[in-house]
Amino acid sequence: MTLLALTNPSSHLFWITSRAAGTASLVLASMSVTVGLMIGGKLMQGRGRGGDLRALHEALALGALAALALHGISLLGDPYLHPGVAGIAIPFAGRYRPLWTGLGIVGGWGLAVLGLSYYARDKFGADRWRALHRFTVLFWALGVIHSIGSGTDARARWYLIVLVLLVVPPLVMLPARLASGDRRRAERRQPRPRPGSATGANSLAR
Amino acid sequence: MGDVLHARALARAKVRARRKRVTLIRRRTFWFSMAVFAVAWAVIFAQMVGGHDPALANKKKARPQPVVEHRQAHARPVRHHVRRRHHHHHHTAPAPTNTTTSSSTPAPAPTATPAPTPTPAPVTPAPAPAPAPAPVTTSQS
Repeated sequence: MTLLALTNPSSHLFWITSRAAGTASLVLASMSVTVGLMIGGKLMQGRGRGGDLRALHEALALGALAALALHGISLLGDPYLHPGVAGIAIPFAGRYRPLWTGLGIVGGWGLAVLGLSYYARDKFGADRWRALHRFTVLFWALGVIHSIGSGTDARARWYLIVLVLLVVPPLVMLPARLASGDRRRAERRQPRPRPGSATGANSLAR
Repeated sequence: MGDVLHARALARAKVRARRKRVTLIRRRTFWFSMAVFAVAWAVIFAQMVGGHDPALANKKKARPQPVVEHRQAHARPVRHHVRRRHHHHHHTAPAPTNTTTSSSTPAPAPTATPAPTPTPAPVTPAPAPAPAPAPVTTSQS
C-alpha cells in the first residue's frame, strides 16, 4: 500500500512536469550553446548558413528559457517541496539542497538576462553585448552542475547518457572558439599595411 | 529603370524567402522543444509507474527501519546502553552486576534482590566512555 502511494504519479504531476521541463531546458540550452559556438567560431560556413544558424540559435535559446520558466513555476505547485517564490527565484534561499539549487538559479537568471538582452543590444552597443554574451557558457555550465548536483534523475542511466551527449560537443568546441577569437583579435590589432610600403608590397606579392 | 525594378523585385523575393526559412526554423524548433519535453515527461512518468524512480526508489529502500535503527544503535554506544537499561528495568529485575550506575545516586543494596537471573550478554560490548545520566530515574523508580 505504501509502495503504491509512493509510486502513484498523480500526486507528483507538478514534480514530474518540473523535472521534464528542467531536462528539456538543459537539452535546448546545450544545443543553443553548441550552435552559438558554431556561429562564433565560424565552424559552419556557407551561403546563407550564418543566417539559418542564427535563427536556430535564437529559437533554441527562447525554447530553453521557456522550459526554464516552466521548470521553476511548476515547482510552486509541488506539495512536497513547496519552495515558494523565494525558493525558486532567490539563489541559496531555498531549503532543498541550497548550494546546488542556488547555482541553478544563478545559472537560470544569467541565461535569461544574457539571452533576452539580445533584444536590447542597440541600447548598449553590439560589441559590448557580444562581449557579455560570451559569459552565457558559464551560466550554462552552472545549469549543468545544478542538474548533476540536485537533479532527481542525475543517477538515472538515460539521463547520464543524454547529459554526456549534450555536454561533450560544447566542451570540445569551446577551445576552438576561444582560439578563433584570439586569432581574430590579434589580426585586428595588427596595423594594416599600406599598399605603397615595402611590407605591403611583400604581402601583396604573397 | 527596368533593371532597377527587377533588382528590387529580386531583393524582395530574397527577403521573403529568408523570412520563410526563419519561420520554418522557428516552427520546427518549437515542435522539437515540445517533443523533448513530452519525451522527458513520458520517461519520468513511466519510471515512476514502474517503480524505478530514482528518488522514490531510494525512499522504498530506506523503509526497512529496524536495520537502520540497529546500525544507529551500534554507532552510538551511549544511546544503545540507555535503551538496554530501560529494557531490563521493564522486564527483569535490576541486575546487581550492572556497574554503570552513577556514583551520585544511592545504589540499592544487592542483597535485597533475589538471585540474579542470567541476563543475555550484549552482542557487542559497547563500553560507554561517559555513562548517560538516564539511569538515575530508572534506579529510583
